[in-house]
Amino acid sequence: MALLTVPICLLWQEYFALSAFLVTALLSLILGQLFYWLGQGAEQAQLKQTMIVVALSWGLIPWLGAIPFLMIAHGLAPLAETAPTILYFRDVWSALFEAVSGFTSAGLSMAIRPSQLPHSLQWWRSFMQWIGGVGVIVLMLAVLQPSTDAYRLYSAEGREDRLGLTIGQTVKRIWWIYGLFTVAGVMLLRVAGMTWWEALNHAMCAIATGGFSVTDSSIGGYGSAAKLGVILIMIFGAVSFSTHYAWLYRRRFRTLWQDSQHWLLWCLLLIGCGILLLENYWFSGTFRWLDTSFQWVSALTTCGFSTEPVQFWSPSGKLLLSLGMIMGAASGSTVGGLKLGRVSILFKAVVWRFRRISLSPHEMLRYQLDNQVLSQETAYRWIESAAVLLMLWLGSIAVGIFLLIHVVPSEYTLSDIFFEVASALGSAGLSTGITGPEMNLTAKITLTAMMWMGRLEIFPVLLLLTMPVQQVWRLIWGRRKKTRSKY
Amino acid sequence: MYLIVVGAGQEGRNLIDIAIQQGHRVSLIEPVAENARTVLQNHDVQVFNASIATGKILEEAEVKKADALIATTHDDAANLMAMFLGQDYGVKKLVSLINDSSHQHLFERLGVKVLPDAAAIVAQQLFDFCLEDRKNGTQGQS
Repeated sequence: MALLTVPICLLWQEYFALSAFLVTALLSLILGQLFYWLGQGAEQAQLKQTMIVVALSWGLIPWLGAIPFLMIAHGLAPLAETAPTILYFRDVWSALFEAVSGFTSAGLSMAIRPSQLPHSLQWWRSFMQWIGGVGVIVLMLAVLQPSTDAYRLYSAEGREDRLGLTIGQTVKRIWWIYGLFTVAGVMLLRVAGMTWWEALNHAMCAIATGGFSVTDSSIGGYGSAAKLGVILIMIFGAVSFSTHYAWLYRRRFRTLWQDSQHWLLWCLLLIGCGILLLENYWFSGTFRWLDTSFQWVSALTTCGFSTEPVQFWSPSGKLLLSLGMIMGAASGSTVGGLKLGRVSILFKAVVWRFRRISLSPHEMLRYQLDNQVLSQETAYRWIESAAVLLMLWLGSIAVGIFLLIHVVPSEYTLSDIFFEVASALGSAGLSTGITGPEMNLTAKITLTAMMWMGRLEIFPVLLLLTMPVQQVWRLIWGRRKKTRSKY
Repeated sequence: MYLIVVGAGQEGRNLIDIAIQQGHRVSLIEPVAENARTVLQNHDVQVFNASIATGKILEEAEVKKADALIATTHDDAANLMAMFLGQDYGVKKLVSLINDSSHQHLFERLGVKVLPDAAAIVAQQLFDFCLEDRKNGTQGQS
């Protein structure tokens, strides 16, 4: 991956960046071989182990991604004309933050003025998001032979929809669709008025619903055509890949609105825009069609591009955007958040609950979702997993707010902090301005952890983190039992 | 038309199939939860998980609005009770399956339309098919 960045360095004649990317490439190669070698002869993985592996790999890979930032920042530091944007990346946590934000396709950034970054780093950020969007896992799967282990790895990452008969086939198709949309996106943005370089970077980050930009004001400096173009790409990135497959290959356009989560997606896009428009009109006295809808789409698809600074919005407007970032868009796409598949199940659960109350004593309830009738157990299981995740999600947000509120400058209100935490956990990347290189170390680590947890839907990370606790617990508990049995 | 079906055996399920396809409203009363769930999975019908002997179960199924009551269980006692209750509530059309043909007169005394001994009818039909083939065969030869 880092090797692919080398031509970019050469193209822009940034020779100082060469060594950084070469080191990264070498290190990842060595580490990869090491893990491969260690993993040989391993037994079949269980769901728990695969989850832990996923959490670990998403926790480790950003460290590699952070290397170029660190090396380039340190390398350029002695030069007088080096911009402060670059200098800030001498801090390990800033570099790691940026890399995690990249690989989780979140889009919160430590770069104050992204336009001052060397092109190689700009590309590196976009590239991380692009890869992160479709999942490092998928890349691994395309290399590995399809096996049951692979399938388990795959569903542990939260994408259960299979498009082909085998995992390899599925992954290949995902890459095809992804590549196709990226190329189309680049063309679209070029036509809409960006330069080739900007179009490439923005298209990659938009389809990955990432949100890193190469300009200082994100998409704010472009005309309406470019804004509309980015909105369109973000929405494409927010639709499930199995649906993309259905309408691209099989010409079944109806799938775009037939299942409940996509139907909900279109509804939310429209309704949210409407409410937010009114909200902003009430607050500022003008209808700002394009900017408002851009921000809403960016939040709901957890992309994180912005056309204007959100920190000057009304608290209620921020709350609405946070809600969008918590929900996210269709599962099976590149978005973060709870995903609308779960939201629609939870919504259904409420409907079912009301129906059950109004049933007569012996009547049975029919659990229907997407034209398919579920057995009671399946329905309960789905509701349970969605509800538990929602619980964890809100719990994490609460913990995040609690931590941040101690360390954030006092000019930021509670709604700002809520917004920022929801943004990090939903791997969205819209910011009220809290995120920045001067941010307190605790805040940096908190937000980094939030992005990591949110991308993997919390469970794998919790499993990984509780593993040592369990071991210690068992050690103590086991000993006590032994001593007791002596008497 | 609004039909209340008692029992979700083979016959009951097929009957629900036909009735739903022709656009009628159907309710089902079935004591075995497993069978009830199977029907619920496949058809958009109201299902009551109870035996016909459960107090006021027919009232729960809005028997006053029912145009027909159809008993399809494999227990003649249950069928008979359903028919009796149906007559009590004044359901216009009462139809029942009978498993033992010696019970036929009990049902007929209530004014119920009965299908005596379904197995015998199936057997007769099968035999008729054989005869048809033989007839066609002889025609072909001559």
